Amino acid sequence: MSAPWWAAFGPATAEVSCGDGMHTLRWADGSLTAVEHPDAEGELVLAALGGDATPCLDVVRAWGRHSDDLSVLALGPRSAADRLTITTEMLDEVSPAGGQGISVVRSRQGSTFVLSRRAGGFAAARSTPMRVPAGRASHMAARRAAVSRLMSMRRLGPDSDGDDERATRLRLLALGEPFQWRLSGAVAHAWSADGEHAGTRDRARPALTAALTGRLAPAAADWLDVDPATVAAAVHDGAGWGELSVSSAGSVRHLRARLPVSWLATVWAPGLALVQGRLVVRVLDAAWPSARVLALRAPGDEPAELAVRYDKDRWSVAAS
Amino acid sequence: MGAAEESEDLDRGRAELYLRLQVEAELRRGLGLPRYEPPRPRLFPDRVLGAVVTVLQARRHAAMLRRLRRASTGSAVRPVIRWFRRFVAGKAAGLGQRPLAWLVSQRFAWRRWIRLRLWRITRHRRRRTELERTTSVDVVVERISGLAAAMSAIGAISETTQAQVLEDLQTSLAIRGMTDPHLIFGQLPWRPWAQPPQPHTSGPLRAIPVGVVAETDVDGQRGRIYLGTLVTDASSATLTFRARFEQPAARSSAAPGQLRQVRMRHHSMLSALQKFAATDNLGGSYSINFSGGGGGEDWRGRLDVSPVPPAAARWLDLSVPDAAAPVRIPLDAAPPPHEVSIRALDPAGTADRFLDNCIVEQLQQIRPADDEDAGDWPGVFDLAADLLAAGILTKHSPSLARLAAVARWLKRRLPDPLSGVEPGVVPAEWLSLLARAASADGPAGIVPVAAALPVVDGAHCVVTELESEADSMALQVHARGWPDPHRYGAGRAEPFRWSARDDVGGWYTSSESGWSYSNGEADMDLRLHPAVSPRARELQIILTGRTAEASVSVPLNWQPAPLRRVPPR
Repeated sequence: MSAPWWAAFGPATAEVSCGDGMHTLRWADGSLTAVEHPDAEGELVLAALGGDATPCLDVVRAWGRHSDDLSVLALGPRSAADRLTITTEMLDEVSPAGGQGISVVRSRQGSTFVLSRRAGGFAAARSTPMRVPAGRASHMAARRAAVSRLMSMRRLGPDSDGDDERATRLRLLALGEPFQWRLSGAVAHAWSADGEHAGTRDRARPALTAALTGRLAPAAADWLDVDPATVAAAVHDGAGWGELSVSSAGSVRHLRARLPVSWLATVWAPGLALVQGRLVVRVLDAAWPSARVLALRAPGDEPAELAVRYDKDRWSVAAS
Repeated sequence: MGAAEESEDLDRGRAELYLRLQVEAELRRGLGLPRYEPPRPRLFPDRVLGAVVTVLQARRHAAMLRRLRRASTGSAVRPVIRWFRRFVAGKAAGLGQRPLAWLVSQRFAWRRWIRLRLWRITRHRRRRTELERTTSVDVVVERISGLAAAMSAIGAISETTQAQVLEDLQTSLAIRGMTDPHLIFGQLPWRPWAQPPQPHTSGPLRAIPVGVVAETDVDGQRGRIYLGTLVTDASSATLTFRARFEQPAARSSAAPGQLRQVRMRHHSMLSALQKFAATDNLGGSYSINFSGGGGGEDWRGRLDVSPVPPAAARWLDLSVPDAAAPVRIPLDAAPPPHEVSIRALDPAGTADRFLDNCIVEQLQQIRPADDEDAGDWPGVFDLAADLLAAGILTKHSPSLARLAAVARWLKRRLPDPLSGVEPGVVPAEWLSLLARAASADGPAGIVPVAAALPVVDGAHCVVTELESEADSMALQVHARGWPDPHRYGAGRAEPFRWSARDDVGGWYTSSESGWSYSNGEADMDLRLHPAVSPRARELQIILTGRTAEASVSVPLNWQPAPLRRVPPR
């Protein structure tokens, strides 16, 4: 059994102004949890029944809602050099929500996340799986049904429109760079062969192909010193890691690649695309901060198995 | 499913992929552009800042004067200094009563001069950088939005995809600091905030010729109104309206304390034109609501009659402000027996027709004096190359062959992606357009048309009037189920096209001259080019949509223009 898509990611945290204090949001093992809200689903029920909304849980719900949102791939970073400069102060200034009824969330990277709490602002289509202490799992089952029923009811109101969804998506991206890459990975996984949208991804093929090309191009440019514009990628649906070839027209080299969408989730998103001059095409096994990958030293080579390790903010080949 | 969704012959996935890859390429290029810098906020209003600066300068000047005095205290040259002060004071009086402090401060003027020059240099650099960045980003957005609009108009991508791709592009640029972040939630030109036009569901439109002229005095302005055509259906009755006044109508005078914005938006004529009322032969009374606009001497729009006159009503008497007698509007007049037809278009030719329209748009800008340099030909070439690369056109597409023929005729070089296209023949219609481009021998007059066209792609149009002048021709159209003219914004690609053909081989293209629009209902003022041939006896007016083409043949029985200039009183 291969490793889950998030196995090569380390944890990430952000601090959230929630209630009277700062709370911690923690991303680990593929899901986002609100550390100070262990009875998250109970609170969601109360909120849905008219209680106070909880900023922490609103972020968690928004994360779950946008974990298959293809616009995240259209907006998110393409490479480490491609940095999003949007801050939540800016979003607060320019979004229709304005500065009314907001809570401030501060991530470890220093960016600030401002969450709208106006009526109807955070409508949820489904909830994110929350971590619940094992002992309480049984009596939470009934609540879970109520939550999912309530969450499926989109709140009505003038704010339940595209602007809200756009604002929510951008606020998630404004959580900071680690969260941008993790959310991109989650979306790519949802549309990969193992993801929840595997059966319907043909309609999203242009968006997925563009996302793949846009992310492979900078990595390939660094790898082979080619013009990123000459990189053409396509979605690989079959078995194996895909294929890759280089052709030359005069002095211009063209790279053609077929890679699975899961490459985005398991290789690119954890920052494994290029490790010490090798293009990683597949993660065989991972348990952050270590991983075993298949990597190409040059186009046309057979991919070789490689042990890599995350250290000092980058992946490098592990000493054998 | 709209007409765009019906073009199944096109490989929509390939077209969308091409568009998205163009966005990726542009974003990569954008990474090298200078970042957007928001304007620096001013802490204080200019007046407050100016007052503070003045006070500080005065204090500094006074301090300089005090230093000068202290330096001279106890000195042997004190009398000389006194004399000098008197001399300077006298000079100051001669220099326009300038204070002594000002004269002394001139000692330090060179510092200020240098600071000013440095500030101007840095400001100029900042502005130049800003201009370069803005221009580059604008070019990116304009190119992609133009391509997306073209693909959407052709039906190669859906309008939803068009809006989504462009919104993602604009947002991507903004969150990377390449554009103003306010654009993220601004009213982007391509955002489909305007609802799609509602299909016309109130039964068939009837066009009743009216053609009545009346003298009027509206809000103190003497003028003449022309009521052209009454358009009715089961739920509405509308009279086309035009007016020309003796003098330009003035804006309403500002009430004390009234906001300037309110003054700018309100025109006294808009409320004055609401003074119409009507009765019918059955004793029923009607309210009349004017909608439309104008400025200066000319106003146009429509008069909506409410409620809809019953079937038994034979006429309406419209009371016109300050007219001697009511104007009688016939309700049972038979529409003119114009020949109206409709034909289905081959969906496979949508892209060719679109590119042909783009070529013709450029051709109609060419005048003999322009030395054939007019028009955005590189833009058309790039669009054609994009459509070819996206698989929407092939190298054997007839429109590309016509583009190559026009390029050869204009002695313009096609870009490399189009170099393999074999030139075809420039259509005779296009040549006739060019041959009469500068003609100014058109007849002067008006033809009341009052012809309802069959429904084309959900739009139901009534051609109300045709008006000719020596160098141009105008077409008035009332439409229901018409797309919002704002909807296509920057990357505008019209789904409909008006043209005309006369009985002596002349062909005419259209451009928009003015319109008013509300909730799918539009009144359009279209300009037809070139001027109509004086030999023409009949004109076929053609509306081309994505899937069908409707036309009406109109005999050109010119009548004197009803709205000739009003002689001064």
